[in-house]
Amino acid sequence: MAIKKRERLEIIKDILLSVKEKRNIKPTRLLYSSNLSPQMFKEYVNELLSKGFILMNTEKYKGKEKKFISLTEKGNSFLNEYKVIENFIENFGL
Amino acid sequence: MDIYNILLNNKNFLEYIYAFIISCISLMILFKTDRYFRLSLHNGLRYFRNSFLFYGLAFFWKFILADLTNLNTTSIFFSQFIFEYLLIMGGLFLLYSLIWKKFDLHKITYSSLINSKIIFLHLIAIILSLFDSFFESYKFLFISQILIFSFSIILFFKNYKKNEKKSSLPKIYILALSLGLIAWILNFFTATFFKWNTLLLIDIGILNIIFFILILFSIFRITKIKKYKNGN
Repeated sequence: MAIKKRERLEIIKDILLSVKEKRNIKPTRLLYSSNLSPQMFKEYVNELLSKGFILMNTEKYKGKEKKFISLTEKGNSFLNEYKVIENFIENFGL
Repeated sequence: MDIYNILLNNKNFLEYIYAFIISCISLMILFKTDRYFRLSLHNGLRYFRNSFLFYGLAFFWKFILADLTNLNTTSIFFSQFIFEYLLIMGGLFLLYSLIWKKFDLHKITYSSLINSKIIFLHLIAIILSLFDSFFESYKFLFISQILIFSFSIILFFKNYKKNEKKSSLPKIYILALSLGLIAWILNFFTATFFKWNTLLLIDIGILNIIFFILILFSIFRITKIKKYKNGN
């Protein structure tokens, strides 16, 4: 059975949901949960950072400096409004 | 005195009201979709909004210049050109909002109003408007809009058939597009065979207003849907 290719907006929603669920998530963990290739993942993360949907923080974790990704207020708004945006796209064939 | 006679006696006033109503509805469509476009930066939504930006501007232009009797020939040529150009662009953006995925595969980092692909739409609109203004006719406008609306209905219907989720809103959009198409066909016949019969023009105006109201109604319905809270 063919698996339906995820739309761009759906991928963004999935990434943001993973970040929201974990609050602070390591980029590698997010990469695994996103089911994307590293190249694609990098593009999406860069896009989300530039849009201000996520933040990249550096924190001390087990004595080492580690990068973590967290959700911003704007990212949270996107998730809250995702259903409406999805409906726009579906109902107007966009 | 019946309603048509009242309307016929106030033709200019009616033109102002008609253009004003459509400009306002287009503006409302832009405002209602603004937040969702800013959040998603979705190209389809961007082109859909562009369509109503151009329709709004076209009718705002018509609202300012509803009475052409005091204008000289050059001004009439110019005002007709602008009005037609804006209308054709509105239609082309509406069609492009349905097919953009075939052309714009990558994220847009440039303007959606002028870019390497949209420039062709501007060229088509300019050429058709120039032809009509030069020949003092509206045939190029009407035929282009009839084709645009026909293609839009076919494309939208094909996409709707493919979509697994069925709701009533796409049917309203198809109805709106069909009314738009009927209005353009009637426009063509009224201009070609009925010497711009005012009664027919009033009916066309009503159809056009219904077209815009149906789109606005769909947008209100969508934005009323319960917001996505838990991601499921």
